[in-house]
Amino acid sequence: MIRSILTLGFLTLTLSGCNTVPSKPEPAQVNASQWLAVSDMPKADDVPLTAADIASFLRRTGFEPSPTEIAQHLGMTRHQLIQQTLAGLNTRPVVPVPDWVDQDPRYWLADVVDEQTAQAFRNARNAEVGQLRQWWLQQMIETPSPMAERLVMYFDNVFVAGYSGLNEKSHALWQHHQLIRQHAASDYAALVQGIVRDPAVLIYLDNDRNTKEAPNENLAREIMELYVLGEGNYTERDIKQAALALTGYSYTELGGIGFERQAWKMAGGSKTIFDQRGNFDGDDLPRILLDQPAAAEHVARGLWTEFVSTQAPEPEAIEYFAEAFRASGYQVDQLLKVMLHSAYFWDPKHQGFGVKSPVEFVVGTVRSTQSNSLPLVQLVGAIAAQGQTLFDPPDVSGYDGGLDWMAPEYLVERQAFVDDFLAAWQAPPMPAGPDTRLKLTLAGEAYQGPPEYQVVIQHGDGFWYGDTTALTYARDTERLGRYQDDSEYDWGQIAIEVPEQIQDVKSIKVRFVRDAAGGNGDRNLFVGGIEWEGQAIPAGVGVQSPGCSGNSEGTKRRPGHLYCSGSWNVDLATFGQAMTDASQGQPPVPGALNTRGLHVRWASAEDDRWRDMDLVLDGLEFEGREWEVFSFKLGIDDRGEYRISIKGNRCVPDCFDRWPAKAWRDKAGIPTVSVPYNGSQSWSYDHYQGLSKANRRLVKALMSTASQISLDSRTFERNPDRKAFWAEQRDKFAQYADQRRWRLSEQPLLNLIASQESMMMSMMGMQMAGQALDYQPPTGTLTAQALDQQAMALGPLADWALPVNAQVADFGELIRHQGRYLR
Amino acid sequence: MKRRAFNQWTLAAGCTLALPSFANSYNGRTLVILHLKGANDGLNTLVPYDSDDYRKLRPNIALSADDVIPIADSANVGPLGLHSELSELADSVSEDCAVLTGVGYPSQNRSHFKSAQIWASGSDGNRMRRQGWVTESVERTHDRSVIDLHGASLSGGLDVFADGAGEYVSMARLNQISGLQAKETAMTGNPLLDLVQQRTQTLAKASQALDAKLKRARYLPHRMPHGELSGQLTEALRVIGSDAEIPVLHVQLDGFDTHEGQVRRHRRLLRELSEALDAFKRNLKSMGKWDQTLVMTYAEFGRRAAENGSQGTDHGTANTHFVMGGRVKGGVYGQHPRLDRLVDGDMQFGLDYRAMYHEVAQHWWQDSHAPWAEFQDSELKGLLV
Repeated sequence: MIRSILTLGFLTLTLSGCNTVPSKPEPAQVNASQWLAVSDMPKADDVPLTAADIASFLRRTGFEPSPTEIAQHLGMTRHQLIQQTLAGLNTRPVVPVPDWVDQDPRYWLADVVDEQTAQAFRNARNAEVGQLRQWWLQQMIETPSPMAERLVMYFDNVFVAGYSGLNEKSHALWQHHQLIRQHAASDYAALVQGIVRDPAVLIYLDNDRNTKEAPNENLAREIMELYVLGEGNYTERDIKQAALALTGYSYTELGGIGFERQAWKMAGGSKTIFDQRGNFDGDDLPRILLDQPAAAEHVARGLWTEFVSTQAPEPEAIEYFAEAFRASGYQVDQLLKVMLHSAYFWDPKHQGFGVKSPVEFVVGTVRSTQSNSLPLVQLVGAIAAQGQTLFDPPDVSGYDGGLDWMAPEYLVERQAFVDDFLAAWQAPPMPAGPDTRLKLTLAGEAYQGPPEYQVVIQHGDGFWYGDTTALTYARDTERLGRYQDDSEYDWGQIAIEVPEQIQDVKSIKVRFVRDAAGGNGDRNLFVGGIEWEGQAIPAGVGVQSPGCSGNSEGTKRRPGHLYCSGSWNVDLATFGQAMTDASQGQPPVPGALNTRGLHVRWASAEDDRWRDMDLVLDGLEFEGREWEVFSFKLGIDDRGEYRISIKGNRCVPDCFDRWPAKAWRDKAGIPTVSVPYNGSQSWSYDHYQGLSKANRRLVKALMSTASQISLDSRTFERNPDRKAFWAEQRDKFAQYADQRRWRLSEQPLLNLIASQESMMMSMMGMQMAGQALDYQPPTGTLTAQALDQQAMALGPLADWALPVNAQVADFGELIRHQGRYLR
Repeated sequence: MKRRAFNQWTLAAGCTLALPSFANSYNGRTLVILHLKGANDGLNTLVPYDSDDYRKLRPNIALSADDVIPIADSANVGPLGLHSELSELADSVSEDCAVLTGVGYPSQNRSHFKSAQIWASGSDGNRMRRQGWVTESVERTHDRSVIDLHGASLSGGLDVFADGAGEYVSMARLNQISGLQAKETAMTGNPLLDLVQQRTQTLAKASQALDAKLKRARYLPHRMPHGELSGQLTEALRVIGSDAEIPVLHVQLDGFDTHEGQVRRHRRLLRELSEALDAFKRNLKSMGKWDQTLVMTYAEFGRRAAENGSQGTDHGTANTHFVMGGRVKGGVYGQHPRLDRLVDGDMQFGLDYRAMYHEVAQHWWQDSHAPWAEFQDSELKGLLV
């Protein structure tokens, strides 16, 4: 619902965006088959393939294959294998997407609530990203099209927008990932076109603050240096001019995170970027960049390293690939087809000369052994320990990959992972039942052993004590140091069997027992939340005891962070009451402004040029019409007139069904209606007169809310000096609103319904974390023994199982072999 | 040596041959290179708090006399003070903490990645060198037979050691490389695998050498605070305290890329920096190792003189840096850039950062073959005693 409204908004905006570039006739597109037919590029002959050839191909274009996977391809020729791989290329996820991606937690809430609630809000978003990491990993393990996932991973590492630079906006991260996923195997031009309107990129590279008064060059620079062209293929002037074109490309939090063109920030006028000149905006930039010869070469080089070799490419190979890519109209699958048919790809000197990334190594280990013995949360942790945090590369240049993955500490962690994997593979742990009444979302830090926890339930007949259990996937701080940031926590979900006879449960406690700490580590337990009989309970509503001092940032105030022995406890009666209270507000009243809340998002200083206060209604029903969000401004203009302003893109759906003809419109065509409370001229009321009767009543009702505005908002906590000024102004607004001409009713019109419930829901991110417990490699699971048999059927391991020459006795030894780090 | 061969093979470029000037024993000295990652704002670190130009450039984020600890006077900008969160460092300016001002290089590159490479190799915006400044010097002055390792990175990845030809390890914590067993391996014909195996061997050897020594250095005389940098310096203390023979350690504190909302973030970072370095120093003094330790900071670039529209600062030029150690003569070195003569809004550097490299090469390692003599600067005279 939200999505479709936003999409409509995009469309209108795109149409109204101006573009003065004369459009060049599009050259006819040449697909890979046509290109291959006429090109003199050295091509690979169609020859029968051995098991080793098949293994090498699957390893390089996807993940390490299982013996079953190899057997499925036996008998194929080179061209058949290429054909089959490309025909199956599909980036659409096979693992169901998490529920939260379609829910709008209303990010603007975090700006109006108190700090503790805001912290809970951020924790919820962090937990969602924790879950997303497991989701992506599961996707890579289960996909029938591993090459598609490698492409997604590749472009994710080019168009970097790391989560720690997104101010806890998990939904922006999700949209970013979807954009990449949608185009990674097909239309590269559409991907680049989408990038300039991608909220995550705009946030990550500060373009939301790129204005004509103070241009911010960050996005312009990185889109050239890192995303699309590569260092050295542009001048400083190109960057400055491109930055101007990108001014005003920003995002909104209203009605879900979405792209927004902000006309008041946009620099008009002519810009010259490379050899092109025109009144460009951000939407023009991708085409201008793709007109540069370096653009296709940039992708060709990147995919060479990804799929062919870490050795420098033959220069003419890049020329051929780039030419074919351009000719195809930037179709990624066409470029791949040319690459796979080239003699370069099949040249033995390039085989075994790529380095698998940690995620490739881990996914390949799981897929090739057809096992699911380690939980996803532990796999994600192992990948991070090997140097790769999914969705969060250290900076905008992404992971350098190649030899960087072979840094000594990461080699140690590859071996540590293999040891853990083999131990679990040979003796798989018992999976927990899916229908248990109690589930815990936990993370932890280990020091000289993992943290241990115990559940204590107070019920009608006394207390029930669960087993004291070690959190096996806690991060080993002795080896890896502590988590630096909450968003890094590896949240896992643990099912606890609570006997049926335990009834009338009063409280649930999670105890952290036997704390330990030393000069070089710390043992801690983190409770993200619990789920009891289907009801999610976030950590924030629990009580922690004792209040351990934790770290210097005052973490003792954050329930669920157990830095020393103690417990986190939730009283179900109190929690239930809180939920009931939250869901009970006033019933809706006909003719009133029925809303979950009226909040001040922002208020200017007394001496600002524009003195106004930005207000938002959290959902609105008025005379039978409904909005998800409705915002407006109260301001005092330079003539001293008190006004209410309602702007076109600040409500979802649109504020008015019809806007007055005389409404102001900005450069992007967004209308604004402004009505003075105390206008001195008759034309001051033109906007108002142009509204329908129903809309006039809406404006009157909104004007009347002035007296009910609460000044306890965060914006005044941050700027306490502004509060007195706005308290005074609020009274003036209220006074004017009380004039006969504006009065709609003798009763206050603002009616708060269920004001807290939706807020609670936004804090509940934990409930979904760690849902995925079970995963299946595409060829199913096998015991270690059965796998060994499958493997032997393909011939001696040394003949096919490694990209290097080596002798290995059995599959266990094979998995330990460092040749498996390569592809 | 295998790594060297590998370099030639991938880069198709030859390596210069080092002229050995080995000492025949290790002198026990440790250089700690500290990256203030993201590029610290030098102008709000060493602050010309009384300057009208300064306040005009930074109407929202300028620090006043109340926010600084005065330490010097500058002919260019008037009195200078250190950010008050650096109180521990300010206290040692009269002893063993040198503050270098106006540090930079010609033709500033403003890319984080590029400029970090420039610092790591001793290059500038006009001329790119291939070798790492620190790997080159440490390999030239330390034969592998007299040390356990040439260098260790504690900051994630090999970082400044990545292109070295000697033996280096990276580790998050020393325990990570504890108890590793060496395994005899043969050359495989695949240079990547050979490199992996060689690094694994280096790790195993280092592990065995360090394990025995590290048992001796379990407890620190003084408590280290919590934090990213402090965690790494704790490991550095264990290395130094155990007499492990590693002449260079790399550590970092991340988060200095303060494009927005700088005031609060900067305060927190400088507090962590000052507390961690102070605790590091007190521990080393108690161990009797302070005279053999030298800490030097680096960063990609300084930040713009003027604040931006979001109460932060963008990528700029000249910067402030710290050099600390028992053999350092404290004080302020270099001339603070003038604020009334900005070029394109940027401060002009007065002290080439390679003058620091020269001092280290000459007076710390006695590396007579280091190529930094042309950058020698009389401003740094007497910095190392």
